[in-house]
Amino acid sequence: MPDQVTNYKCPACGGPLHWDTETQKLKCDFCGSTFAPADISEEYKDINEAASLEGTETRDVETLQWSEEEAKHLRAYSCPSCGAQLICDEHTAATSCPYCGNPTVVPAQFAGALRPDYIIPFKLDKQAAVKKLSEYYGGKPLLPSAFSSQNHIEEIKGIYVPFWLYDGAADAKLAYHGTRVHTHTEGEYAVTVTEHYQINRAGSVRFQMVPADASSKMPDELMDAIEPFEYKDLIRFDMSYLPGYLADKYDVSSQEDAARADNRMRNSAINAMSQTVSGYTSLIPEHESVRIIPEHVHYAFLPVWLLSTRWNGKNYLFAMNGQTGRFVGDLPVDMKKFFLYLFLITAVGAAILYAVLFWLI
Amino acid sequence: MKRLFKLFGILLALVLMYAVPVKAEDIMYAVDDQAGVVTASEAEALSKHAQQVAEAHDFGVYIAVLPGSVSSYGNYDYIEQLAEYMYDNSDVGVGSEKEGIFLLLTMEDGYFDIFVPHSERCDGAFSEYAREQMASTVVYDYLYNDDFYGAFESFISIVDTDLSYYEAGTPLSPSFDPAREEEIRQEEEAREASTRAAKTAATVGIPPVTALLACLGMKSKNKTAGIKHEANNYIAKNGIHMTVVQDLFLHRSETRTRIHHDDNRGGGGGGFHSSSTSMGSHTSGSFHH
Repeated sequence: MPDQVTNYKCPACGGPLHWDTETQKLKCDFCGSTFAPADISEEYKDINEAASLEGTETRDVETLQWSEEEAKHLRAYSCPSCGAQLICDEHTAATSCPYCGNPTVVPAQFAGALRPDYIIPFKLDKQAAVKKLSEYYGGKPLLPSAFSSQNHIEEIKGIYVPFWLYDGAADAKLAYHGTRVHTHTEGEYAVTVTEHYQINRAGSVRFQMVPADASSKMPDELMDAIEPFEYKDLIRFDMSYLPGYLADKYDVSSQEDAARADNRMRNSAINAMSQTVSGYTSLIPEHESVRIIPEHVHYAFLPVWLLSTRWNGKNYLFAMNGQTGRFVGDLPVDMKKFFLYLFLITAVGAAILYAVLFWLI
Repeated sequence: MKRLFKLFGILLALVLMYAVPVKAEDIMYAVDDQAGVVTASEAEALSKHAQQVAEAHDFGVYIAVLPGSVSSYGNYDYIEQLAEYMYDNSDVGVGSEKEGIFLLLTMEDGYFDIFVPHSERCDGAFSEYAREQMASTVVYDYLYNDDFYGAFESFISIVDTDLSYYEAGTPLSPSFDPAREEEIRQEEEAREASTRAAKTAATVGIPPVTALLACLGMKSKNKTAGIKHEANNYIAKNGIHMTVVQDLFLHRSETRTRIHHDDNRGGGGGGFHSSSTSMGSHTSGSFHH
């Protein structure tokens, strides 16, 4: 079944095509020719349609090395370039052949309802991600000294992460008890007047494309932290943007993910309403109710660089927004340094304070 | 009303007759407590003390406590007028200039007056500064606490001290006030001690807290991943529509706290002021706290 997956090849020389972040076009690895995604997409239209249909007939993996349960979630494809067998999980939508390195797209993963509505193409390449990682180590005094020198990037992957983008509105009703306190003098008395108010706010807040990643493999903390994506670059999905990157179709449904988006909308609606309450000395919330009115849900592929490193037997995972370059990830803390800094700052601070308070003043 | 003051004069004369030592017939002193603010034994002790001071300095020392208000003893607007009338119409004072000092209290309205007639010694020993220092101690330290015995005892002692300073050629003045200087020294010592304690506390307490905050700030730099709880970036343009914006006034509550003023003429609150008339000098005010 060689045509279940598609290799995007250079129309000029037949070399593999990759998405080039600099030119924002598909570029041939061999001859350097560049092609607009629409042109390549048109060329591969028929092939992809056929592959989509045949994609449902993907061969199950033999169960000799894999348990039945494992095999159920795996799919085997043949690389169109070298014929090697590609073992992928059931959600893989784009990958590379481990033998010939050719980027491979599985059109069947985008058939019918599985086809994403939008995509933001990668703007930053692998070198940018590596550079950002080394920059990220800077300015962190509590990072173990050996971490940046001893740890090496084990894996760096450009991934189109499936996201659900939720449109919706939040109808909010809030009530507060507020007080305004004034003080003035009347003859021999200081008079404190406290005015009590009932404050009511109601209204609706419309949200557009609140993102929630739709892949269970992606840590939510990382995916949330690399926000925001700039939706001005959001374009209609086309498979020709995928070559050179990994992609998975969603494995978390829009219904399952909705709670995360709803919660964010709820909190923001309350914030927006409460910001219209001002001029009070004290404010006590008495009632808060928010009703989320769901509207459209969009399916989009958003660009993410994932970098994993290993140090002292522990894996560290970082993510970079492939569009904006926002880089996030948790780093280890050297507790010896922590206490050393604590001691040093205390000692220096105490010395300065002593000098200022006891000598200068 | 004149009868009342005649009575006061007679009372003073009677007290003097029995209490004044033979050697100084012209020395007058008295503690006349018509309001009963001190006990009989306290009044006796005070009289004895006043007598000692009067004899030692050949100077009249008088205290009178009236139960009513200033206006209840005649057509007086101020306690100074009443004090002058009482002093002038009583057989008090030493010598032709009627040298003496007179502390008058009217209990109902809570006023006091320290009066000295004009004379070289009176004006020298009990200058405005001296009278105000005296009033400060008598009123703030004692009368505010309803300690009448303490106030009168203190008054007599201060008279003794001030007369001694005058006789030594160094009357009490802003440039010579040993008690005040001692008080200032003690205040300065106390202030220095508390400043030193505050500085030590700041030196010991602030740096560790600052260091901990700084270190926690540095630590937080190593953790940048986290779940988002808001969607502020995704609010649509013009996407906020308010349907209810109500701020309803419910009610008002009021609390009043009395403020202390320095001037007694406003109707209470303590403080005193000094003045001078053709007859003598006054320091007067309210002793109601």
